[in-house]
Amino acid sequence: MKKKNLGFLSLLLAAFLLGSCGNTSGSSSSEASASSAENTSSEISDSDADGGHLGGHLNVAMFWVSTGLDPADGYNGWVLSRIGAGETLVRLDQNAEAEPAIAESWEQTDDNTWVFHIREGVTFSNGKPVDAAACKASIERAFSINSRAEEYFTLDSIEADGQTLTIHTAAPTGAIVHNLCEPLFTIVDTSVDEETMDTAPVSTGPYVVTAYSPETSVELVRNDSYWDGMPGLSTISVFAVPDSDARVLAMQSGEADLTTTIDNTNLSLFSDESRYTVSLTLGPRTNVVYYNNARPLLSDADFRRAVSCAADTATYAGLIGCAPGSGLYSEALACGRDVENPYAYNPDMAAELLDNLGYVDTDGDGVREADGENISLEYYIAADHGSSDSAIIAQAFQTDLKKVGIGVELIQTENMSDIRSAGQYDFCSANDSTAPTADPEVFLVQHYLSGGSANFENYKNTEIDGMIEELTHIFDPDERQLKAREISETILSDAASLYVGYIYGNTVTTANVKGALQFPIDYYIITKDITIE
Amino acid sequence: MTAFLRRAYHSARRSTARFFQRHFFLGRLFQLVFILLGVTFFTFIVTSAAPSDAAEMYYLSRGITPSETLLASTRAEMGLDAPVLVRYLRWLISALQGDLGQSYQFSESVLTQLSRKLPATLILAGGALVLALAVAFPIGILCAVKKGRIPDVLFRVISLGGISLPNFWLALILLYVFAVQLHWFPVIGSGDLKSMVLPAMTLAIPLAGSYIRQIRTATLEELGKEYVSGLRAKGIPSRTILFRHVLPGLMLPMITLISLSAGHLLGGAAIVETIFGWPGIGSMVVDSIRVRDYPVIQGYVIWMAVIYLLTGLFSDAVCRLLDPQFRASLRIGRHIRGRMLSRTKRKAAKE
Repeated sequence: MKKKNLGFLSLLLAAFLLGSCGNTSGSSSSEASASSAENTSSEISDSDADGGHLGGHLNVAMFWVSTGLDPADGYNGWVLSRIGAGETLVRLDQNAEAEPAIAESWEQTDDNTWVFHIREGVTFSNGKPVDAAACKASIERAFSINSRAEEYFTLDSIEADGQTLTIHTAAPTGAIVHNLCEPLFTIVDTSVDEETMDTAPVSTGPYVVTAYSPETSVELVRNDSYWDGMPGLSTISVFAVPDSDARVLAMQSGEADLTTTIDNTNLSLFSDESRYTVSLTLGPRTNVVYYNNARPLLSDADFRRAVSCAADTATYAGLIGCAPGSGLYSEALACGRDVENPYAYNPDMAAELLDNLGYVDTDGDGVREADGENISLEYYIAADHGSSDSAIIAQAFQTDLKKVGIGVELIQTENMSDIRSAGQYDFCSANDSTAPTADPEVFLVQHYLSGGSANFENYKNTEIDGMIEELTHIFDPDERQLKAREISETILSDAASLYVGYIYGNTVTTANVKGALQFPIDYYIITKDITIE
Repeated sequence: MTAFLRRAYHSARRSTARFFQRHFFLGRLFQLVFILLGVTFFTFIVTSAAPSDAAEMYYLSRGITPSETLLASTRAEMGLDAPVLVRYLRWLISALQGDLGQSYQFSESVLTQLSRKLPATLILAGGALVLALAVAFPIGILCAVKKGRIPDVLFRVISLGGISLPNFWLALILLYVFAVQLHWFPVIGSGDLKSMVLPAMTLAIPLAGSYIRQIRTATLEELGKEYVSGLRAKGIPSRTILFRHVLPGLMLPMITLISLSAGHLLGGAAIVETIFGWPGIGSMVVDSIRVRDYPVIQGYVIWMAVIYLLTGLFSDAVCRLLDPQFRASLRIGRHIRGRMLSRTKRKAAKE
């Protein structure tokens, strides 16, 4: 009887397992093969039809697909730009420098007036020609919908005359050309039905949105009337894969041909050049340790200098796989190159500075004393952008400072914003973009100008205030970079913060995908130059 | 006067209690209104008490440091410049009119968000529950029947492993084996049945591990009851005892178990949804909490309160129907009421 029971239950279990897994998996397998075969045949036929390089289908695993595609709403424009459907008047090239796009040239006529010449022959994907009036309507729409637009320049008025667009700003804005590259200012056809703007905006990019599922996927086809030559692909499917490990697996399983923003530790999985291509580029994002300049010890510039000299930032950068930091800006920008830091790693100088300040270890416990108490500073850590980099930097920093006799207590926090606002910290970690539109001004104004909106470091230096004021009135791009470098060096000589390293952005493709590049400013992923061999 | 009020109070209390005993569903729905008011108010106050608000987090979460001017205008746009009680009342009045507000983060209405995400969560939760039960039910019974023998020990160890595995690890291992190596299922979810299998398995495996142990315990408890010994003594076959008498007895604890799990699963699973790119409400609410998206948090709280109350209500109702003692009490009640009524009628007829 017992044997019969056991047999029956085993049969039941086997039926469940086979029914729920076996059958499904079997059908899935065949469907997957069929789907794969369909894709391949479509690629081959497209490729044949277009003669070699042009054509084919690209599957993209994207870390984020927004809830809408209206570029004027929130940060949707970033997605529209990344998938190759949206374009701005000006764009940022591989060197993070502004290059003509819809506007073929521009000039400044006075402090507050900029004239852009709209390229002849550019059309929206619906065939309507792009003129200054269309650009004016699009930019004004961005200002009316998104309050973030005011962060880039304060608009006084816009005039449109044929292909000439004149922008009058309310205040001198040296960064306006770079700021117009922000995808918020994507040029869209505002004459179409406003309701379609969120699902199928009409722009001028090399690809056109044909289907869109919020936060899930976007389907695109080639824009045959694209103004800058024939785009390299016939169709593109973009899928949202928010998890970095899942994007790695999607590439390994062959479901994705292109992905970006893979964790540094996983990049070694794509080292086989016969199967994958990896494009790495330094961006403006920087790992930084902010000092609270208002705290008793850190308000002394020599103490801050001693701290900066004690920290072996090059080693930290190696630990987290980023480029060693020198100043505020990464080498992606001209103002980040050849920067002199007088207080780079030098433990002997750190010890000497601390000795000169009278902070010595009298009780032999390895920690120097200030006013009879062991020096113990609070370092707050938050996981920025889902990375463990800030924790690694904090631990290495703690070890180095202990070597010169400074005690550091590490504290994890859920909400760094609150800690900063309350000024309750000595050190805190951050992962900040120091040039969001590849222009150095906004970061300086917010972080290092006395009373700046993000100056939670409580940094005050009248010399720096004057230099930043000068920068806002410089309009020549090269001069702006030189001035920003000078300011960066002055901040370093005052040891206001510790710049650890600059982060590489990455784009990974299968080996048959050509022309996919990682841009320093990550507004662009799908470009007209991507092809499938 | 005081005695009169006391009597009136007790009388009203007794009447209310009797009313809710008789009108079980109505009572539960009445409770739901108060619970919804309580949880939404409490959530609103707690989230609003956080030092950084939705306007600030909106920008900081995107790596942008906003200026004070921008913060002030964004706060005004979001309606955050009013006192918290005023904001709650405004929200409550809109909610009563069917408008749960606009998400700060996604620039769309909360109802649109929920209606877009809930189907995915419902499908995934349903799939995980069915899969977990399909595996756990036969194995749990097998373990009980074979108590202390190899199948029992083996499946108990496996179920312990299933419970102990972290979701994210399990998800990545399943993806690696079934998607990357075997190509049976896709890594990139497209919302179809095939892309649902791996996330459902990730949720079902720990659930099945827990179910196996609970079904085993419940079966053993039922098998140890005197009526089973009596049936065995009468010479009734073990299989008949198991399927005709023991399994129906497992229904009550199973329904309670399922209703609790359903509530948990319908709340979404942020990590699993993120890894599989499954567009459910779990990752939505985690993001919303991070950026203080109050309207979405409120919408989620309402959903969770309704789900837990409805699954509880469903479980109670089914248990009442399946419980022979309750059915008997209903019959006795009807019998007594009928007799009392006929006696009253007879008395009235005599008079």
